Amino acid sequence: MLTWRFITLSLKSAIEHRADFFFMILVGAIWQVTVVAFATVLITRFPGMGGWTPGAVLLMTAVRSGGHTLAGSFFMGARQIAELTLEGRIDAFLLRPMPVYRQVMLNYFHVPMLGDLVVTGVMFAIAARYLDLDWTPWRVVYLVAAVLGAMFLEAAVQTFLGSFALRHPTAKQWQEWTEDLMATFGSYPLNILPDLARAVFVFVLPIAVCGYLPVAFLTGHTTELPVPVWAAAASPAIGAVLFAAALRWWTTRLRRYESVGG
Amino acid sequence: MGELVIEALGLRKVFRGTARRPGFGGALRSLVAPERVTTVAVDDVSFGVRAGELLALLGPNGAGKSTTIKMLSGVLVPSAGRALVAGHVPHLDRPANARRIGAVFGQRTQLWWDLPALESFAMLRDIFKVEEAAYRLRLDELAGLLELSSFWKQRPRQMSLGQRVRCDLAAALLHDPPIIFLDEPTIGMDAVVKEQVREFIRYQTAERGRTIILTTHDMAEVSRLASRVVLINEGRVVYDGSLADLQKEYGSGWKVRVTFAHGAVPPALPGLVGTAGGEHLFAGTDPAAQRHLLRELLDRDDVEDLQAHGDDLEDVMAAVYRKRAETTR
Repeated sequence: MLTWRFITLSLKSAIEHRADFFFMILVGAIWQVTVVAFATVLITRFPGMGGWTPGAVLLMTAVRSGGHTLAGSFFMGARQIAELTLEGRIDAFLLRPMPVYRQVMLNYFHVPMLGDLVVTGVMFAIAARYLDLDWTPWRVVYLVAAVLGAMFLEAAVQTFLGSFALRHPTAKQWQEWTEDLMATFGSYPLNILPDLARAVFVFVLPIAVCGYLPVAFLTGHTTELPVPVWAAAASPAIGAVLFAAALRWWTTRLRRYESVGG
Repeated sequence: MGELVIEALGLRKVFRGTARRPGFGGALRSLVAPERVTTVAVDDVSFGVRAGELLALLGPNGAGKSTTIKMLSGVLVPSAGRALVAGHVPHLDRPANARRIGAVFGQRTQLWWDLPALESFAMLRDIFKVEEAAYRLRLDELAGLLELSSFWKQRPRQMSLGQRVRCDLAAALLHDPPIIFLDEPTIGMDAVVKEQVREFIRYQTAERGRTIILTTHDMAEVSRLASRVVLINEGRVVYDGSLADLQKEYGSGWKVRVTFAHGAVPPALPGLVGTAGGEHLFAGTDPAAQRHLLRELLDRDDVEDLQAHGDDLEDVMAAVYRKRAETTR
């Protein structure tokens, strides 16, 4: 209930700046149109990528996009931590009987996610049409888990880096860089990359969790996986585990919060 | 006065960072081998505040007042020592502590910047789980005391500083906390609004029995509101006691300026230190002697003008810091 109140208040706050609000929706829509255009080219011009069918690649793009949309909806506040700290708003959050993390995440409504949501839905529909898959209930459940795993991974990375922004505002640049990295490499089969890059994206910054590993398991592209099939199958859980670890890190950093101006 | 509700027990706060060396070469050196700097903002600060008391926490800029308040309110975790508010450690039990305290940091707001203040109030009602009837009653009372209704539908970004701080004061009291921390609440306000806020603060202790810690640089505010002051300088407590004792200990005494009617024969009264242009100046340190002198002078028909001066609190504060600097030199 309180969460819903926060979301509506943040939305109202965003609507206060009418021109900005519509402009952000427009920017979001244009961005997503380029994604759809890319997907169209992918499906109509190329027979596949690294042995993956166009439908499977599009499903991977859709899973990552879905996770990103949800992360943008519920965890975008992590990207605002530097500003919230400099404006002294973290002080105000600490004076309320409510978890600070929840207040930070709900403080900001990410307007472009409205457009993201629509385009993600369209991508799922196209991918499902091109894929020769029997959508049994467990596959649907697994797909939902994969999207949630992608969301948790992005939330974990942004929370981990955002925790540094409590003391070092420049951490925001790292947050932006990793988001770009995840957007760029999260939507393609990682077996097209050199071994070193692939190892980094599986074991260091596990972008593979965002789409590559779960969709490989779901669509049966398991011959060139860098991990055992069971690990690929369990990959949605990795996002959740990393998110729990990131939350612990946030709590530790918050205890060392130094406020601003005395 | 009631029991101790706020206790600072050897509070210490250390900030660690890096210092930038001057010049481009210095910046490059700092990049490779940063110079670590430790700043002791608060060092072994101890004091207690009893229920219903208003304590003025005073000191120059950078003395450690705000850091002390932030440790007591649970915003900062002390590096050493202990803070107790209503018997609990603020940062360990933050949600419960938040319900017991209200805080206003004069230069910051806890209102939603882009939404009407009334919406912020309603949101805080929900966050603090205040019942609707109690909320209505409290809001009416606060609106009356702070004259909020003419601007509470505005967004804080459109408000004047005085309006914004008055809304922040209301926001801090909506959940009826027994303890309030006010960090420079009247900074930058005009005289009229300042007076209104002072009266509001006085009302909260005198009539509502709230315990208040107030930091301010406004000495008129201190003499008007506080009976007890704690002076902090360079992170340490340099004085803790009543305002009257502070003035007695560090003040330069009283002065009385008298102008007698033309042709009058000035009486031989004790304390006369000089005459200039028909004005007689009396001075001393004993308050009883000042009272006696004033009685004598008021009984006379030939006194045309009479001005009595106590110590200026600004001067008293300066004297405390001077004395402290001399003893530590």
